[in-house]
Parts: sequence; structure tokens; C-alpha cells
Amino acid sequence: MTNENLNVINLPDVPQEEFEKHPKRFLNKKLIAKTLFMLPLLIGVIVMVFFVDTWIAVAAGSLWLLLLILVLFLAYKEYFVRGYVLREKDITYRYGWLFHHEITVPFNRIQHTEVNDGPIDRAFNLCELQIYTAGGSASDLSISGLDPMVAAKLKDFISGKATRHA
Amino acid sequence: MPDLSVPNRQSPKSILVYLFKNIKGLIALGFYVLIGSRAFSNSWIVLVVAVLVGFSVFISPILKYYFFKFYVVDDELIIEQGVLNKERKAIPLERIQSVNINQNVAQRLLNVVAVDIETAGSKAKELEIPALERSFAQSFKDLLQEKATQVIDSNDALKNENFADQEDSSTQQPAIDVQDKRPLLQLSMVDLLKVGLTQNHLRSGGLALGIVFGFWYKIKDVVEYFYEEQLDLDYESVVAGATISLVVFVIISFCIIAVLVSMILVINKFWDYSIYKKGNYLEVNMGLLNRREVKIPINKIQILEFHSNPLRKMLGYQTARIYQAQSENNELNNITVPACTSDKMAQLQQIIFGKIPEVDQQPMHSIAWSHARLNLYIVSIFTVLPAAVFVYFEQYWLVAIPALVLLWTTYNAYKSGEHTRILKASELLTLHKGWLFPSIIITPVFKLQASEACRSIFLKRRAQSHFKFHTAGGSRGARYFNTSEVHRLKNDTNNQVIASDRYWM
Repeated sequence: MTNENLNVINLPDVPQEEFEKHPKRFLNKKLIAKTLFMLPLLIGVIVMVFFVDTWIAVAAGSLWLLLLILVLFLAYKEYFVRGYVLREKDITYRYGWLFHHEITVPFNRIQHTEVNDGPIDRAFNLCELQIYTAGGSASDLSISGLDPMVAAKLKDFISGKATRHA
Repeated sequence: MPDLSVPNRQSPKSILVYLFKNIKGLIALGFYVLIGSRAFSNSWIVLVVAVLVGFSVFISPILKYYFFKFYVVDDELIIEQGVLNKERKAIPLERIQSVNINQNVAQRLLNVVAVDIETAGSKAKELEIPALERSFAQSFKDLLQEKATQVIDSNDALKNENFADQEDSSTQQPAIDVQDKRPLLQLSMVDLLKVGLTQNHLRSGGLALGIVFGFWYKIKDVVEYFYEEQLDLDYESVVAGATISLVVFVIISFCIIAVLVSMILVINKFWDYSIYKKGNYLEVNMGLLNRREVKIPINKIQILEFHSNPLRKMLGYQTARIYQAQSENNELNNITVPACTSDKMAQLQQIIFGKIPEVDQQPMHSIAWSHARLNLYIVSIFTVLPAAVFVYFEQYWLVAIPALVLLWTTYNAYKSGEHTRILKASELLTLHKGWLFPSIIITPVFKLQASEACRSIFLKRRAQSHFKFHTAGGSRGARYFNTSEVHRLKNDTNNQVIASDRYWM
């Protein structure tokens, strides 16, 4: 067995400047998806207009609008912090504006990968890369909003690296 | 040695084990019927139900026994079971984490044991063979373990030695055999009482209360049904007559019941506790009603934790928890080592990690004020309102209560923040957390699955972050450090994982 002492201080850091951004259409997709998600609530509000006092309906309506603006604002802000760095031996992903996370998964700890896409994703020509580790759902990475070409390449690259270690 | 290549059945006594289980279920059912409806008017329905129940209680064990088979084919353990729904589970031998032996009361009466096979990460976690002859179970267990190690040894990924073995393989083999005879830890009755006394009584009391409240109406029904004449209680007058003395009485009885429940739970769980190191395994035996024999491969241990509380600190011991790689939805895959004195703690670390974390490196300290601030924000929400109510009704002295609660919890949070730190010795990552209820979390760096830095938008301005790591045994983390330090630690650990090619699960 060889196990040389490495001076970890000399090993490279995660480069903070080189985070790969998601395509711009991911932002559009997110905004539209969020709006669609809020629509059922709006229907509820409209129904209220017919059945209850106007002022309650108005209050509910403005509450809905406020919520929508908040959700869209968060989605907008979030888009600009989202990004990934692919390095020779690991992948780092960061996401979240209100609650920011930056998580690094080395390839030799990856169990398997998969590419998913939903109907809205397909409409925008996007897909999601799911990376599974043995650490349970908490350490699984799901990189959403990737170009299918990029996602396929990433998947090949990562699973190639992962099998070498397995 | 059992021949595993042909399908094996359990001991025929398993029919009785299944029968016991069914009868237990029947008693519960009967209880509910008794409570639920006092009169089954239609005797025809009763007859049908009785036949159905009788059939399932007495016939199904025989069918279950007949259809339950297990065998090994091509490095896979295969279990077939099920009468109507045929089920065939196959587990690759190298996935087997540990093979444990359990024995509940019925099984003990019949002198059979249940073999419980644990795997990591697979969905087929619940693998139990409920009734095997003791000797057969023992050899079956040994055989499985032996086969599993053979498979792993032939595996390419394992050309390098296991982490924990380093020390052992360098020292001569007989030394281990000498160690075998002596248990690492054994609990006497006094130890059990000590452990019981220092449990979390609030939780035990809550458990007892929950059970009482959950069954209150049922209990009341039954009591009234049988003792209606003798018992002429008027609940309203009792409540109306509630006095300070009654409140005190209730509180005292709650405390006594809580302590008693803790005691009973602890004695039942840890009765005749012993932990041994045998070769590359830790072997734990415990239990009064349900005997458990657990074997943990040392190299599969992911996290070792020590927990304490003020009472335990006074008695000079801590509780250790050992976490293995776990499958999803299975939070309970840990082994508790109660009543660890500090030298036992050191011994445990020595055995599991081959070393004790050195303290030569400067620890990374948490920012205590941030812990206090968060507590202040959260507790304020709950204390400001009562305080305002007291002020409104001009009961100024009562304001002291929420104020004290706020002050005390904030002080607590500050102190626990002060005690929160991360130590990274060359190969081990150690998290110290908490003040009154301190815990120490130790994991080998190369076992990390991923490392994470996170923060909220409010912490961004202060340049603070939390650190989190994920292992196959679960995720742990500590809060409020300087962002730059967190990122350095994250890089360090990550690079170390990349550089390591040891087998980590």
C-alpha cells in the first residue's frame, strides 16, 4: 500500500471566478414555470371574487400578486448565483440566493448519474443532470437547466471518471 | 457448516414463531373489538370473521414456513418468500454490511434466533430470517461473513489495506487473540442504573404521556365499562377543585414516571451489555427481552459520536454512537455504547480509527455571537408577545419570566457557540458542538462523500458560512465560521478525498 503524505495546503482551490453559468433560457423557463405554478392559486382568488366580499377578494388578490413578485424575484436572483465548475477530479455546484450552498463532490465518490427532463424543460431545450452519491439525498447533486448536449457530455465524462474508481 | 448452494428452510420452529406473532396480533385485535363494540349482534358475521382469522392465524405460519427459502448463488444471497405475493430478494454478498442475531422472548422460549442481514444503500434493507437454530445461525452468519470478505478481497478496488487494519496488520496476529477474551466494555447493574438516571427524562416522560393520552379514551371506556358502579367520578368537579397541591402532585408524579420509564427502557435495552473487538469486527451483545448480537465491520464505520449532558458529566462518562453506512429511510442504523469513561472513549477511537485525533493543529472556532444572535431572533418571537400581554394587563413582575427565558437561552446559545469548533488532524475531522449537551463527532476525512459550504443571505455581509459534510453514514455540520476558513477546510477535505484511493464503504 502506498499512501504518500500530501501537503493539502499546496493543492488547488476551487476557482471562484470560473463558475459555468446556465444558458439564459433557463431563467425564462424558471420564471414561466414559477408563474404557472402560481396559477392554481390565482384561480382560487378569482373564484373568491364571486362568493365573498369584494374587499377580502381584493386583499387575497394583492397577496397573490405580492407572492408572485416575491417568487419571481427569488428565481431571478437565484439564476445569477447558480453555476458549476468541472475540474479534473471533482465537480462543484453552487445554488441559492437566500440560502446559498456550495457543494463539492469528488468523482471517486459518485455512485451513478442520470439525465432527466420534464415537459417544460423540453419546451426550452433544457435538462437536468442528477448525480448520486452514497451519502444519501443530502449530498446528491441535481444540476438543473443544462443544455442537453452539455448534460450528455458531462454525464459521459463523470461516469467515465466514476467507473475508473469503482 | 450449512450447505448454502441448495435452498434451505428455516427451523420448523419458525411455524411457532409466526404463530406467536399472529396470536400477539390477535390479542391486540381482540382488545380493539372489546373496546370498539360491545355487542356483535349478527352472529353470522362473527362466524365468518372467526373462520378467516383462524385460518390466517393457524394456517399461514405453515405456508410461510414452507415458502421461505434462502440460498447462495454466484456471490448472491437469495431469499424467496411469500404465499400469494412471491418475493425473491437477491443481495450481492459484498453489499452485506453486517449479519446480526436477534432474539425476542418467543424466540428465546423456542431456543431459536433471528438472523438480520443489513446492507448499505440497497432498498432491500429489511432482510430477516426469523427462526434458525442457534448453531445453524452461527455458522450461517460466519459463512456469510467469510464469503463476503472473500468477494471483497478478490475485488480489485481492495488491493489496498483497510484503514483500521493498518495497526493490526503491522503488529503480530496473536495480539488480537489475547484482546478477544476481554470485553472492551461490560455494564453492571450499577452502570445500568447510572445510564438510566442520566437519560433524557423529558423525552421518556413525553413518551409516557403520549401513550397515556393516545389511549386515554379507550382506557376510560374500559374502566367505566367494568367499574361503572364502584367508580362514581365526576371529572368536572375534579378539574374545578384543582389546586396548587394538585399541580405539584402532577408534576412530581410526571417526574417519577419519566425517570422510571427511562430506567425501564435502559435496562431493557442494555441488559447484560458487552462489546468486544474480534479481528476486524466490533461485536455488541445486549438486551433483556429482545437479545441483540450485532457485529460491525470496523472498516465500515463512518462516524463516531460522543454525547453527554450535565448529569453524565458529573458521573464522568459519555455515550458513544457508532454509525455505519446506511440505506435510505433508515436513520436507526447506529450502535450505542453507553457509559463510556474517558479511557474507554480513547480505546474506542484507537480501535476504530487506529489513532486518537491529535490536537497539534489550531482548531477552527465558531463565532459565538452569531449563535446568540440567531437564538435572540427566534426566541424573541415567542417571548415578546407574552411580555406585551403582561405589560398590557399591568402585571409588570411577570415580564421577568419571558425576559429570563430570553436571556438564559441566549446565554446558552452563546456558550454553545463558544464550544463549537472543528479540528482537522491529518486524517480525522472532529466536530465539537454544544455546551450543556456537548457532542463530539469524529469521521475519517477519506470517508466523506461531499463537502459543503452554505450560508444565508444575512450571513453574506458578515462573511460567515456553515460547514457541512456528507458521509455514507449521514450528514453532519457546524455553523457560523469565517467564510474563508470554511472554504479552506472544504478544499482541504475535498483534496484529501480525491487523493485517497482507499475503500471507504
